[in-house]
Amino acid sequence: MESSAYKIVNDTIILERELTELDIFVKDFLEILKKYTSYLIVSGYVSISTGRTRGTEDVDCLIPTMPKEKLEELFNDLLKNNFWCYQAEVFADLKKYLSSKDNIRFARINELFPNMELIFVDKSKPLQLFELKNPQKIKIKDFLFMIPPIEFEIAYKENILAGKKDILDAKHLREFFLEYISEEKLRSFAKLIKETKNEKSI
Amino acid sequence: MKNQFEEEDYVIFYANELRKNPKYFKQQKMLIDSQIKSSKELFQKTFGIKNFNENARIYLRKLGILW
Repeated sequence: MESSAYKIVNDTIILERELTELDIFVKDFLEILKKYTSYLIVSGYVSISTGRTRGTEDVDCLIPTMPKEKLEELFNDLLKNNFWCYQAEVFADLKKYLSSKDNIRFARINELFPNMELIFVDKSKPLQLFELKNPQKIKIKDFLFMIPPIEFEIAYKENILAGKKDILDAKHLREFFLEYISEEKLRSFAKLIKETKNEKSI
Repeated sequence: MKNQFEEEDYVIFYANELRKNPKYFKQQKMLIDSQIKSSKELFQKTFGIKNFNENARIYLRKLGILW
């Protein structure tokens, strides 16, 4: 299995391209985030980072729920490093958003887009918890980050998100990773996703 | 109006070409970098630097992103 646009080395997908401004934004953000928690980049940026030509305003990032004190440290570190939070100037003002389990967004100072959307994951979100615990490494130049297994991302887009944009993202991933994708894994993840979806809807 | 079938065909065709030839990543980089540069210029001009966060939040509330 070998594509000239990517290669697999020690289970890491290595993309053969230069960093974009979007990559640099994500890289700078993750440099801070990963000091405090594990994470997983999901959804649109997974497709875009592997070549899908479409715009995006937000980058979705799963993180496990964390103690308030640790989250406050992360919040302050981000502000110290030239990010601003959509919801609050100071951590105390985040309270109402955190208590309603809202996602929290950050952008660079004096910029609106792109923004990083932090999505808190706990046992009430079993599929997101599953992907968070099963990361796939991907690398562009010196930028190494975590995404879900490609087969999981495809199955999730096809079975859960299922909007036009998501279906096209899934088609891109299927074609781009044609030689890499395991049909067996794809079937297994699709089954897991459908079963979990059905359980949740009961 | 765009046809879903045509857009789907394009996505598959492009991904197939890109897989074989990473030179197409250069076009994607130009597109993304240009979008980010334009967005930065537009919103700094719209909201100003001094009260950027405050003005941005008013806009985000109108969009329904903030409550």
